[in-house]
Formats: sequence, structure tokens, C-alpha cells
Amino acid sequence: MSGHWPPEWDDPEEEFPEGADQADTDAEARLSEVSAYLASVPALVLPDAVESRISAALAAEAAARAERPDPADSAPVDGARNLGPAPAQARVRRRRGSDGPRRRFRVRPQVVGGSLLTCLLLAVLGFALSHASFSTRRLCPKTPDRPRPPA
Amino acid sequence: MSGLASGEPSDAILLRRHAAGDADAFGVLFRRHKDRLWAVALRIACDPDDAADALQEAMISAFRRAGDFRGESAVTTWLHRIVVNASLDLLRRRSARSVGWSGNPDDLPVAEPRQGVDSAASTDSRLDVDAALRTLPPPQRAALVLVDMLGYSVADTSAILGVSEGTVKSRCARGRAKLLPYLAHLRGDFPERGNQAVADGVPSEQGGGV
Repeated sequence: MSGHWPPEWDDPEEEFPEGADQADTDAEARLSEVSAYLASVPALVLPDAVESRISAALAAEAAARAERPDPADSAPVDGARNLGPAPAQARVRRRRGSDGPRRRFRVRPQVVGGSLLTCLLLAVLGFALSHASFSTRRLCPKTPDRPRPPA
Repeated sequence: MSGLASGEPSDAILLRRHAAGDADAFGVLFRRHKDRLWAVALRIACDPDDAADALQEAMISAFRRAGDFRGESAVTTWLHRIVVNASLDLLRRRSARSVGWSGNPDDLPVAEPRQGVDSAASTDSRLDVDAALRTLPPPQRAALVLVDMLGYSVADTSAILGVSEGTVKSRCARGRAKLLPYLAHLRGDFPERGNQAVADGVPSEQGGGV
């Protein structure tokens, strides 16, 4: 609460000074008398006019509160209408966010199937190419080496 | 002010009932503490009209914010903090204006004088104290009013004012030192040392105990 009031309210030595317990005992006694005197001042009583005024203000507040819809009653309706899907989304986002590293190692069936199919196709293609090349060699045997010209 | 009669709900229960929608609970709480809250507002504001404004503002604020009360302190400590803050805020807003009584202090009602105390002397001493208190900066005045006049402990006052206990002690010591010259002529009337007059019978739940 301190520090927000006008400068003239500030006390330059706010904290209780070190060694204050050893202060002059006579001065302490006089200050204690002030303290005791303040305590002896008769207590004040709230004037009826002020009490009536504040009671009326509180009654008006209570009436205004009674007229307002109870937030406890309206909350589920709003929550169901506006916030229904949010928990599911939040759950999904939280899982994606927090389990990120684990997700990298998760094997998906589609990926596995696709990879296997690609490998199979490549194998079939390779086999087909090699087979075709073998067949071509058999159908078109190598031409015999030309006879060397006589020396 | 004595402890609660048997069967009377505590402050905390009243505040919970109010937060739950009980229309009368806050009124009971206000009536239970009105005189002490008024004393705080009036001693800090030093003006009956300003004190009435501050107290009304504080009570409406407490009425609205009751649901925020977490129970970390006594209900009275919380109420007093709101009243002190409202009074200091009002003074801050009006700091350009000189602080003085807008009415006749003699017209303000006081509690019945204790046995053996002359009522005229009591009124005189009250006026002297009022005049002396006006010479203090408001934060110092608030600490002195809570500790010396209302009998709160330094720890409770620290919680109410939101400052350290050392700061409360310092403000009280400096405030007493400043008041000494103003009250010196009453030295013969100074009672025996002690702080029982006002703090007597204020149970801890109502904010008076250590």
C-alpha cells in the first residue's frame, strides 16, 4: 500500500531503525503514555444517518444482485453451447504438443503398406528388366568375333 | 464488543452465506462491525462526510468482492483493509483539499462513557486527539489508529495495511512522538500504561486478538 500516495505523506525513515530497542527509556515511557492515552479515548459509534444510508446502499446492491441472472445457472448453458467441442480439441492439441517426440517414432500402417508396395513394385520391375535383358541376349546371340586378318 | 452469542454464525459463515446468495448475511456482518469500521474511516479521513463516503464505498466493494475472499485472514482483517484502502484512496483523491472537519465534531456520537470517566472530560480529550491526529500523515495515522486506538496487534495491523511489521512499528513510534507535544498538556490525565480500554473483549475472529 505504501508508495502510491502523495510525496508529503511519505516518511523518509519507514522501517523501524536498528537498535531502536535500546532507545532512551524515558522517551519510551512518554511514548507509551501517549499510546495509553489514545487507547483511553472513547470509542466512536456509527451515526444512525450514516448507518441508514449505507444499509440502503447495500439493500440496493442486494436487489440488483437478485435481478441479475445467477451466473451458476447460466454457465452450463453457455458452456454447452460455446465450449462443447473445446475439451476434445484441447485434448488433441495437448497430446500433440506434449507427446511430440513420441509421435516421431510411431509407425503408421499406411506408411508401412506404401513402403512395402513400392519395394515390391521396384523388385518386380528389376526382375522384369533383368529377365527381358536375358531373353534378348538369348534371342540375339553375340556375333562371333571377326577373323583376324592374316598377319 | 463481546464474543458471539451461542448460535450466532461466525463472520466467515456469514460471508460464505452472502457469497452463496443469502440476501441478509452481509447486512448482519456490517451491523456487527459498523462501529469499529466507522472509527477507522473517521480517524483516517478526519472528516465525517468523507468517512461516510469511504465507508459506504468500502462496504459496497466488500459486498461485490465477497466471493474473492480466500479465508487467508480473518474476515474483519479483510473488511478493515478495504475500509483503510477506501479511506486512503479518498484522501489521495482529495489531497489538494485541506483536511479538516466539515461538521461539528461535538455532534458525533460516542459510546457510553465507562464508569468513573467524566463525559465532558472525555469529549475534550477526544477533540484534542482528533486535532492531534490530523497533524499526522494519513499512513502514519492509520497505523496509530489501528494499534493504539483500536487495539489491533502489530501483526494484524501489518496485514490490514499491507506493510511489514517493522513499518507498522516505525509509523506508530513516529506518530506517537509527533503527538506528544500536542497531548503534553493532558499528561496529568494520562491513564496508567496499558491498551485495554478499547481492545477489551475483541475476539480474534472479529479482528482484535493477536
